[in-house]
Amino acid sequence: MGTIGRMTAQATAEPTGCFVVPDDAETVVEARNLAKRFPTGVDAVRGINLRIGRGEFFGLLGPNGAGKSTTVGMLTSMVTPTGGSAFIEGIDVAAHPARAKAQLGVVPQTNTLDRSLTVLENLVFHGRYFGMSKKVARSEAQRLLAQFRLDERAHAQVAALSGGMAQRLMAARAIMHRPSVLFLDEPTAGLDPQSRIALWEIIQELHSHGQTVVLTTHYMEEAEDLCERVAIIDQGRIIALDSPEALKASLGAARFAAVSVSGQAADFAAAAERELAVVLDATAESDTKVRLSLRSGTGVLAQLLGVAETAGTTVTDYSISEPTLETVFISLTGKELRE
Amino acid sequence: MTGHLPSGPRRAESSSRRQGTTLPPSLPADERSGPGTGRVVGALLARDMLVVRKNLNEFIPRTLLQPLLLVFVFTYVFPKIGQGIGGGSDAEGMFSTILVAGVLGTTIMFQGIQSTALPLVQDFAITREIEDRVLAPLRIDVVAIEKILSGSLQCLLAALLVFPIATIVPATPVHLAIKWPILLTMVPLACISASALGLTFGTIFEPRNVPMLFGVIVVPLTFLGCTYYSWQSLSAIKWLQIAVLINPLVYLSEGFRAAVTDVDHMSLPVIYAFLIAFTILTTAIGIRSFAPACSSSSSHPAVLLTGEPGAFHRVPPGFASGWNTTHLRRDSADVGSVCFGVPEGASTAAGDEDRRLVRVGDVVLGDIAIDRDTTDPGRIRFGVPDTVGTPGDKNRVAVCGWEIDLSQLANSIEIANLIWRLLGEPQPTLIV
Repeated sequence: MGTIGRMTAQATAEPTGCFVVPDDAETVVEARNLAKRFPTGVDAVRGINLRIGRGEFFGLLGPNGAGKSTTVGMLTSMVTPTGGSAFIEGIDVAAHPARAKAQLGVVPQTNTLDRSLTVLENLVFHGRYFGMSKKVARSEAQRLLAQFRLDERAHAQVAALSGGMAQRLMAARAIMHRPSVLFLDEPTAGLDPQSRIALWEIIQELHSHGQTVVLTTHYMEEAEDLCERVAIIDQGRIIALDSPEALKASLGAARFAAVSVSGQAADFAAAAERELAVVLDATAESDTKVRLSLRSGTGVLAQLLGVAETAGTTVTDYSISEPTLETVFISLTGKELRE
Repeated sequence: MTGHLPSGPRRAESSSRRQGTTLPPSLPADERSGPGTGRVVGALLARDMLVVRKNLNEFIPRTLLQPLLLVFVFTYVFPKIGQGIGGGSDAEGMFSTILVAGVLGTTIMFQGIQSTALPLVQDFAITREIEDRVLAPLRIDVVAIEKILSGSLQCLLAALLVFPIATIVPATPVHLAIKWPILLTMVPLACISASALGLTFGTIFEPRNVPMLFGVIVVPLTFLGCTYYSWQSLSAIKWLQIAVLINPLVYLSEGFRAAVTDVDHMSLPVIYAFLIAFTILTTAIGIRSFAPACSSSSSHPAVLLTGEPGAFHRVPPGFASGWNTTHLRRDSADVGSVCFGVPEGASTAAGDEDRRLVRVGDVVLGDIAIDRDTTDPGRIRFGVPDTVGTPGDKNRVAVCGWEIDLSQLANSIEIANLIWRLLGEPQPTLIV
């Protein structure tokens, strides 16, 4: 497993060298010092470098407002960068937007289906925008509707679709022209759990057939379960980039524990850190709550109960968890992903 | 610093490598550059025409009713009831002839604005459907030009529908004298200039301003557009004759007067020169503001409310001046926020958190948190739907000294709306 690359202010000025894609993969998506300052003066993205290889399932994880969607907007030509450049299949997105757009598919966060057209017509016209003949577009559309289990609704108005169906239709639309890379911008936001699972099955199926996928999400479970590599974004910068396993391993702790005590949390935290070899770090978050990172999770409770007694307090609640990308995010930024 | 990476344990076995090339495996080389511009524009036009065809039952009455009533009342009812316009019966007869050109001009102008501006206003601010069209493999300015072409075709259709009415309905004879070279150049020029104006309006106006677009811009254009009278006849009111020269409809009406009647009209070179210059100008403005309008919301995707995020500059009461409120957002999870930028040189240190506890009467209402540092956008956070309906302090938040009782609100969108309103903006329309 590799180490976490942490980007520093100096490193952002370097277009290469940070977070390179493994040598054995072709680059499909590349960002060089990509930056966006909005006219309001807000720096949404402050110099992002990344390369995404063919066939990769890549995640951009970060809290709302971290700059994920702006980054995707710049990679897909929807947002004009104020610094740096973006490349899709080696095509400069800002210089040749039409050619770049032919190479990418987007499933946006909001419903952008054509409400004046039926489900089938949405796909047929999408195919025609991308150069298919009427006939080819029609047969492709019908094939996709069957694949995405929408064939019964072919002639329905898109306004009549449920959220999950609309999202599936947008996914079908996004891959219809066989894009080199499929961008999914918070695609499951607002979906019920069942539709969410259904959408992920479809996306994973596409990925297993070699589709390059770039996903932005603030759901760390999604990033953890689906992505091969994850870039953690905060305040417009990539603060870590690696596989979910490597990111979690980088924390150096095998387990995390949250302990509630009846009082003297600070004394308890200090005692636990001093006396127990299994405890890497203990922080009192309030007068009654302590967070601990642990070398292992077995047999810890008994030791903690003993320490509590010596610290003159009692444990009222205890929970233990494996490291997640959420804990990675907290350890890197000191704040929670979903605040 | 270099972070080197694992080769990706779950990497799909698909990275079909081709040394020295970046061609995707799925596409043959000649498709790399994407489909030709003409082909994509053709497909976009085909889509727009299909939508017109589907909506003919709306398009026809919408297009016909106003001209029909105009012609009916002025050139049928008035002569029949003896309430003449413009004096004697000669002038009455002339009036029908004068009105034909005016009706054509107004119809095209109206249609250009209606079929181009209104859908764009909707797309930009509410549905965001525009993103679908904008993702087609075209330059964004070509997408804007397609909108003008599509609007022009609808103007043409409207003109074809209206022309017979203007010639058949009048009780007094209409003296047509069609000059084909003028007509065949004037029709496309009129249609394109009206749609280009529509494009400009569509990118500039917000949904809440649309009534103003019609009330304050379109109506004066029509009444002062030489629709019911020829420009020459205005010589009796010299200042008006000069003032109306800024009205593009004057040139459409006069152009059609030259094209289909023998009535006195403005000089043709002036008409052509103005319309060509006007078309170039409005097209340029429309294209320039089209691209920013397209990307404005994709940069703030969590915004569920209409209104340009960047345009939301007003300093909320109670905040130090210079704080820019940029946008209101809510995510699908459980937290909403109002984001705002903090001025340079703000006195708080980076990462400082300013909590305001708000008390109304004898009830402590809870607090809002303002996260900020000197460079980053800050946020006002507020809790959402889960808490709604539960009694207790959790249900109450306060913004800018106002209490919000969450239990009185059905959902987070309403909460977001309310906060928006408290910050001094009119209540935006919802996108649900």
